[in-house]
Amino acid sequence: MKRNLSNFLFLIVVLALTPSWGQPSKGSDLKKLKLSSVELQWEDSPGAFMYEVEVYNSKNKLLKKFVSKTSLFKFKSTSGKIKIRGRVLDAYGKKGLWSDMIETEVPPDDISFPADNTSVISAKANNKTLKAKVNLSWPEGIQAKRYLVKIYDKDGKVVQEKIVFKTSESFEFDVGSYHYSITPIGNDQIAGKEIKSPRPIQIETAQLPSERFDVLKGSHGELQIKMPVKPGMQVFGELEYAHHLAEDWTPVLKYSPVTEAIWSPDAKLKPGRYRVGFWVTRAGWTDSAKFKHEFVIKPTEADIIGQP
Amino acid sequence: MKKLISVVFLLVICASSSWAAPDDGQLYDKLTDPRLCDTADEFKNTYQFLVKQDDLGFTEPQAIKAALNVAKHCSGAYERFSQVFRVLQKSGVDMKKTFEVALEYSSFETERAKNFYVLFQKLFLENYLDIDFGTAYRISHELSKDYKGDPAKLRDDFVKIVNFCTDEKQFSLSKGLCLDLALRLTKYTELYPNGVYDEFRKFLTYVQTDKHLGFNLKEALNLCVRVLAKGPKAPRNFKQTIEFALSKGEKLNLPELQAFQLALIISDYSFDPTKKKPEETAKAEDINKKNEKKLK
Repeated sequence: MKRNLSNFLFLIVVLALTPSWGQPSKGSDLKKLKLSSVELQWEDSPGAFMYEVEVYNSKNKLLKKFVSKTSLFKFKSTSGKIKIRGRVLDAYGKKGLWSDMIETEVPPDDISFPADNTSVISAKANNKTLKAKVNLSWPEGIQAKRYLVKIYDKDGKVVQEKIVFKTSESFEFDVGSYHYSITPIGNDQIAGKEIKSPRPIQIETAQLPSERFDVLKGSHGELQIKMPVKPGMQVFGELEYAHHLAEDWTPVLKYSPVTEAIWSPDAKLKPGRYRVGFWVTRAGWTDSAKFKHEFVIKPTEADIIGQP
Repeated sequence: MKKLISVVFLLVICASSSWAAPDDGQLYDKLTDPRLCDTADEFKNTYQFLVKQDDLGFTEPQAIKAALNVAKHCSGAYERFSQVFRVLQKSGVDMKKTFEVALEYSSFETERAKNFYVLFQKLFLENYLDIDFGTAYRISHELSKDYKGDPAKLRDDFVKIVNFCTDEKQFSLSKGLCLDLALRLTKYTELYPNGVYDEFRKFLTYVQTDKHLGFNLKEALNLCVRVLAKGPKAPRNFKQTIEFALSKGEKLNLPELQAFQLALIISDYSFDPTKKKPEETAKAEDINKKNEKKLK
């Protein structure tokens, strides 16, 4: 009695192995051993004494041959498309007909991010480009030949995607919150499971560039500081005082915003050390760094001779 | 009649003696011994001064303690204290530091304290040398409490040089050069019985007006400092050598450059640092005499 396995239903289950990416690879030979785990099971066939299975790659090259008393086969394989055929052997060793070639796919194993690292990947946007460059990295995926990196914004919309060959890549981000996922891609473009990184990405607002504040001397030698003028930008400032031979600075005045085109210290300031600070602001931007200038107000001879 | 005249005479004498009694100065010598101090006045004035300083924030016991600390420095302590305090306070110095420095200067002799508050103004104020606070403060200390010579003579020289140098009608030197000149010249004040300023002015006039020496102002000033550094005889030695070397009647009759170089060498010899000062010699003689007596 010939049994034709092509009539049998069969079930193929492909399972990922326990990840081995955490172990440092010591050479290319070790890498070659990292194969995806495949598990397949034939539907039990009445009268079948043994099962014989052959596994081929997409180019019809025989990869493996198994003979088993059970209908469950477990083996390791490279990722990609594989073809499988099987037949049954009865108790007398008579072989049935080969089943039809069943084509299936072995995906690369899932990427396994370290679960204990959920820290935020943060960066500040560049003053000029208003973008931040961030290098993202992930663990190596078994049998992954390439990786699909997807960047999601805070609303879950994909804003960038890129296929890369390495396990790290730089991306440029606008200001905002993001997260990213990695999908491993094996042989024959077979994609694995998309895994989200537990580390969110946070890009902080761009800081306004420091503006130029020219320090000049007026016609009577008085200090003058010229305010920069740009549309949509305001200059804020503060004046602080410190005694000579003392360290503490005390706020004296705040300018919010500075209204004069040229700032000069008030003629009535008491003698001592002063520090004036100016910075520029703009809606949606981080304030520029402070421009600081120190000056000294001296008494006149008459001030000293007069009564205390 | 004779009795009446004698009674009137006695009454006049008694009256005149009773009128004279309150004025001690007419009866006794003035109390000029510097060890005798008017501490009551010093204490009262200092206390009254301190309680007016709201920024200092002294409580009454603190003011009393501070006034006692000033008063213990004898007559003139309040004046020294208050002058230093006023200059620093008006310049914007921290009040605690102002008090500490003023208290320190109340313990010095009056001329030394005066050096601090007079020279600080000359250094710091805009209408004089207008230098930064830190430098003005440091130099003022160096020329007052740290100065080894006669503070009054130094102050007189320094003030005169600064006034002369910063006077736009006389000089057009920058304030930095004026400071440099004042500091360099006053290093030699102690060599000159009446200070270096008058000699400097005389020699500068000579250098600028002599037909043989065609120096610009900066060169003239450098020459002045170089020559005056060798003491009060150096300017005269320099001038005499120039006259002698250039005189056509003399055999020397050198070219101007060589005459100038010779005059510099001769003026350099005007000060011999290996010799002792007269007072040092006298002191040494006294010590020798005492030692001899002890031996006898």
